[in-house]
Amino acid sequence: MRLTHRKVFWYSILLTVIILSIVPLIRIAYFDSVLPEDEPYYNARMATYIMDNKVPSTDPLVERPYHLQPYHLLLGLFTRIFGIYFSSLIIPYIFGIVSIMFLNFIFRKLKFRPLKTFLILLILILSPVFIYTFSISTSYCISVFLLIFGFYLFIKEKKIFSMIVFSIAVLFNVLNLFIGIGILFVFSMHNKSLRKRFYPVLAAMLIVGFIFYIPFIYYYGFPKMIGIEGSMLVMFISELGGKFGFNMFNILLALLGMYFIWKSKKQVFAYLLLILFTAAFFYFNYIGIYLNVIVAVLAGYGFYGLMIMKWTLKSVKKLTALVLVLSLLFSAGFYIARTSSAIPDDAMIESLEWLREESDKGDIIFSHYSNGFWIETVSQRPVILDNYYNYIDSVDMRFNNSEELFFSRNLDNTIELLDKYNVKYIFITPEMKKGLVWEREKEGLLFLFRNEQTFKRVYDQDGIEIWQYKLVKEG
Amino acid sequence: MKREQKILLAIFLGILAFRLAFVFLTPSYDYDAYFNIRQIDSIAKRGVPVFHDELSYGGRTFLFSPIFHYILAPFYLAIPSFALKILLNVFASSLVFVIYFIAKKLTNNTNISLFTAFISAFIPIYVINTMNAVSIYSVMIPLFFLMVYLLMNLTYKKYVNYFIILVLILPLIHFSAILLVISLIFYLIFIRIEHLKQKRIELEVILFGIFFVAWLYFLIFKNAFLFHGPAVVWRNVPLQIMSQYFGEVGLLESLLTIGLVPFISGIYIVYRYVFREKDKNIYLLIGIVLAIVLLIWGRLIQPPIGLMFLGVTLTLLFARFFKLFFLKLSKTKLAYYKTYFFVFFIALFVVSSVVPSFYYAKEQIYAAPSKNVIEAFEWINQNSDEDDAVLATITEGYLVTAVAKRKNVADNQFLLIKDAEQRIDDIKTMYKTLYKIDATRLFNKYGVRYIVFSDIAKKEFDINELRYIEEGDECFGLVYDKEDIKVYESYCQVEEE
Repeated sequence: MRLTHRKVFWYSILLTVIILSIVPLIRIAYFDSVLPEDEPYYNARMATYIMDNKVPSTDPLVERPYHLQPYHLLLGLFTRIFGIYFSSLIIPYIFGIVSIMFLNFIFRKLKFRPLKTFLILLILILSPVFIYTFSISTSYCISVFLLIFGFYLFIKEKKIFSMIVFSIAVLFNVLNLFIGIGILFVFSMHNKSLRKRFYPVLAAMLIVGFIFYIPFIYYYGFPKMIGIEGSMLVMFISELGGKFGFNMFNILLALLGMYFIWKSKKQVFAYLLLILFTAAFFYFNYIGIYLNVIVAVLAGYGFYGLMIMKWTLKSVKKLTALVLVLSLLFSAGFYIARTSSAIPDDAMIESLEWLREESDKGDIIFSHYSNGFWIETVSQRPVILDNYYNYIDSVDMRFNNSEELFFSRNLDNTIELLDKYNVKYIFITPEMKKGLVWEREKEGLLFLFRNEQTFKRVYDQDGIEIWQYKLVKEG
Repeated sequence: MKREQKILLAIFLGILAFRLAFVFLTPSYDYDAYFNIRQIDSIAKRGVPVFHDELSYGGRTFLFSPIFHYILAPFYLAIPSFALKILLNVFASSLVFVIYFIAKKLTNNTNISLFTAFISAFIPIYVINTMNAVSIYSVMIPLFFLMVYLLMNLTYKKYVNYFIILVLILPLIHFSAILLVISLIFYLIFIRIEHLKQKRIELEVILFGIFFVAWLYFLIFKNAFLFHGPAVVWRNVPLQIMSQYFGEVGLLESLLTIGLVPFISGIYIVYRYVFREKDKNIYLLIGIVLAIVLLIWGRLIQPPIGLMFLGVTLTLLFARFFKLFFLKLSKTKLAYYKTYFFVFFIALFVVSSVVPSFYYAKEQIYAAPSKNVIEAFEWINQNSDEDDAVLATITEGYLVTAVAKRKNVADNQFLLIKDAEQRIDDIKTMYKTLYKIDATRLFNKYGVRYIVFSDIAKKEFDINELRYIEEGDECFGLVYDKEDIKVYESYCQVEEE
């Protein structure tokens, strides 16, 4: 059977439709229509708020400035028609399919052979990060799409449209500015006419970036980085649990791809850019979403190189191809299973709703920062810290105080800190007890909960506990 | 039968006799062997291994490949001691054949190959770990080096098929097949660096092997990866006992356990072929050496296991050294004393390898659990309720599950155990605490009814008695008392407020 570009196009679209449907379908079927992961909840909260009120200057629930995210506007507009839940599912899904469509066009334009295109797209579609990006409601689904679309327009010589699209991309994430410039620079540096096209795009992106981000940075400064991420290896490899990490086989194939490309053409700048992006990954790990497309291209080269290699033993070639395809399929399967069953589940939502019903508006909830978005969105209560900690007021102190609260066995100290933040409830999940916070029983705060005069367990179901903090004033 | 075949067979039978003479000195096996014995027993009786175990850690899931246990189960069903003592030593001794063939390939000299095969039979660390241990390495190491031999001979079609079959089987037998993958990567790097010509077929099967093993292990360990993260490569060994598992390897220890002759000559050949000469087959062996060193250095493999593979590899490199040495010697005026040199080598080998092998073999037999210990665990099996848990040291953990058939608090397998560190601490507290209340609270926590207090516990915790047990204690009763082991029963409960 001869593989043509047309066939590759339809196969890849079909595969994308199937793969990206799985997570939403599982959530609808088994999780009572609860969205997985935490960021969609933040986006949903902000989109709803903007539609109901106006664009705020500060986050209504956490002490941090709010910088307009165009994704919230788009999500808000969709919400008007489809409701927040369906909109959160459908937007990434649509952009996933359209991104694959334009990647097909790009590879065809760049004269990639159909098999190479197919292998690159196969690796990309089955990669954990791709599944995450286009199954979970985050602004990255549009960021990636805009960069792909902008690049397509760039190579199609649509200079003005390309400028517009790349400029819009910058509004979604400041990183799009650097990634867009980096990719266009490497692509056009060896060709004079391409370089000519690159400069206006560069100028447009810089101007938009300047106008959109500089005033915000001027007022609020640069975001503060705090070291609350896990090990680098875990971040980098999806099988170890890295949200934006890469499949081990993609890394292996990408290394092979780099070797093949190096042998045919020494792309020094492309490699330098790759090293730069990889290094940046460890600081801004969501760069993995963009890096994933590059890794998929390299891995596709690796796979293609293996397949066109002259094999003495045809059976070994087939076995190797089978192992590689199976590894991609299994990796995608495990990632889908993991993401589909990711918290929050029904029990967690139930407990958060209970908290909303039983607590007063404005009651501050203390929990692990990774539970922050859910508490804010479902319980509609403020927290000390959530997952978007970049601009939170005195984030370092809040983080250190949270750690102290979790691990201190000194009741006076704990009371002092709880009073400092005016905490009313403490929200404990099974994950927190199983390593997210504590490794052992009766560690820190868990030990202090024995003090009935200070803490009262008001909710205890499915391993989720909510403790009310009762301040006992002496005398 | 040719002369060399007869000699090789004699070496094989000789080493087998040596091993069997030692293993039958004791009816028991090494402490760690009881995990495998339990799995083999389960397959023999029920047809399936124990993956979800209600006894280990009071209930857990094991991650292991049961192929080895399935191989032994039919024999175990017929005659247990034949399977566990004789058959495994036959497998382990068969290494001499593989070594002979590889040495022949490296030297093209029958006498040197026979001598190398003989040396390989007396690598002390290999003898210790494969004699009475019901060890997977008795099968794994001969097969591993058989693959190395096949890889050196891929010009023959049938060897290619055998190699592919082994690539499919070996990783299923044991996870140490990962060593082969890393070795092959080093080998490919050497080939590229030295610009050596590589057969297409060789590259193909190597690439297939690397991808297949990586994929298979990803499948097997996927849950463990998610559960433990990178700690999975250290098998989630708790920090408190990490140094016991992955301790530093000293030069003297390596010399003693590998043998002076193979160690020094092997290292010399590594040096010579890395810096001065080129040889593809030697690079394959150097790849294995580098992979082992990397794994031991990274604490990714337990030193005794790494040293076993290293010992066999250095012995193979010794074959090349031996050939080069006598070739060089024959070109000098000392050629006349060739025989004396040969005798010197043998004497040196006997002193540094054969004698330590005998010594370590005897030590290993004495280190196995005594008759009293086994009887104590059998007593627990007959006199306790099925739900009772038994406190024993981690070393004795498998005896609790395999012989007493009761729940233990912890044993040597830590993968997929979330609270391993807590349990290690608690075991220590249960043995060392001065306070009855602390011990009883922990006994209640783990459902411990019986406390095994053996010489192992005395040594491990540096105690002579359980200090919280007094004479006539109403909370504890001495229910079994032999020279090297005591069993106490715990009666009390701590009521939490």
